[in-house]
Amino acid sequence: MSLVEQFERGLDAPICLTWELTYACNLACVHCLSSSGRRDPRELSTAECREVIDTLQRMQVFYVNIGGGEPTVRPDFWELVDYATAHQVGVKFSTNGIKIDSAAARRLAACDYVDVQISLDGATADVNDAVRGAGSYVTAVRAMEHLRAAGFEGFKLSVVMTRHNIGQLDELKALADRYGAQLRLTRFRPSGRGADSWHELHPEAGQQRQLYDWLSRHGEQVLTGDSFFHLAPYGGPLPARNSSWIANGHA
Amino acid sequence: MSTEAEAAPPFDLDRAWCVDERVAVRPEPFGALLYHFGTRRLSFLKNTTMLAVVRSLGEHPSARSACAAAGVGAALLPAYERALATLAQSRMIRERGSGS
Repeated sequence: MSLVEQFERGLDAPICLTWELTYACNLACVHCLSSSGRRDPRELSTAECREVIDTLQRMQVFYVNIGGGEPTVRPDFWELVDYATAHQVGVKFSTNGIKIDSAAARRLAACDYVDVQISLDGATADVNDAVRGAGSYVTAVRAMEHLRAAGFEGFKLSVVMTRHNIGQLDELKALADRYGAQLRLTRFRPSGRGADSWHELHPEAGQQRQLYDWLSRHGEQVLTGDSFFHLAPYGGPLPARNSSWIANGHA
Repeated sequence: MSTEAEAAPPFDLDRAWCVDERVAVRPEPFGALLYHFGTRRLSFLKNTTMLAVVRSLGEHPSARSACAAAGVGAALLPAYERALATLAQSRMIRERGSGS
């Protein structure tokens, strides 16, 4: 049977699962997909989160992508990370860095089953903070300094591509390199507050071409979200590596 | 059988091998999925015989013996050897006693 036929029947379980753990956030980014800021009182309790992890373990889901909101502001965040990894569920989480101090960085660096993605949307404080809020650049860079000092290699620096940072691609790559991180680029989507800020922030046509050309030169060293996998009208596929399950660059 | 594209270096069927400790093996109708938590890469095993070979590597003195026990005949052995070489290259399996 061909692999295509085999895959038509699907997998027994997801390879990974995205989990918005909380809508609480110390920031209020103008492009936030989930319009996060305040915790929702209906969010799962610690015990309920553990039950979700138990289910994922039974299904043999390899890992969860934890986001939000800012997942690390949940008081039980580290406890849940430990619970997941102790139950063979790997954790990748996205953070603005607010809770990544030197102790947290050392703890993360010591665990094979955890990956960290620092969100930053500009190579300079002015470009980043205009979208993510005053002080958020410094917070993210400090977190990256802690991760580097702790010896955490290959964490991700995740950037939403906007009109104001596409011109900073080289600087963003240099920033990731400086901290031993891997640059990950994702598309800006008009969802949540991103719908309100869409007209001010979405890349313009010429910038899309600029991004395409940049990825053609640097794609092998850069991760991208799923939505980057398409055939461009320029006649070839984009060479960037996807960061989700087709992670081996085979696509 | 695994699906890595690049040619792997030669594989020694007569040595003792095992699945890396950081690899999760999940059986699937077509064979299995392997996920390596260290490299964060995924591989496929394309049939259940390959799954039986991989799962039993750690209990056999050699990969050759694991293949024989799973019913892999001489005609098919080279294909299994190539698939194992690919898994070794991507660090899904490692030589026993080699530490990592």
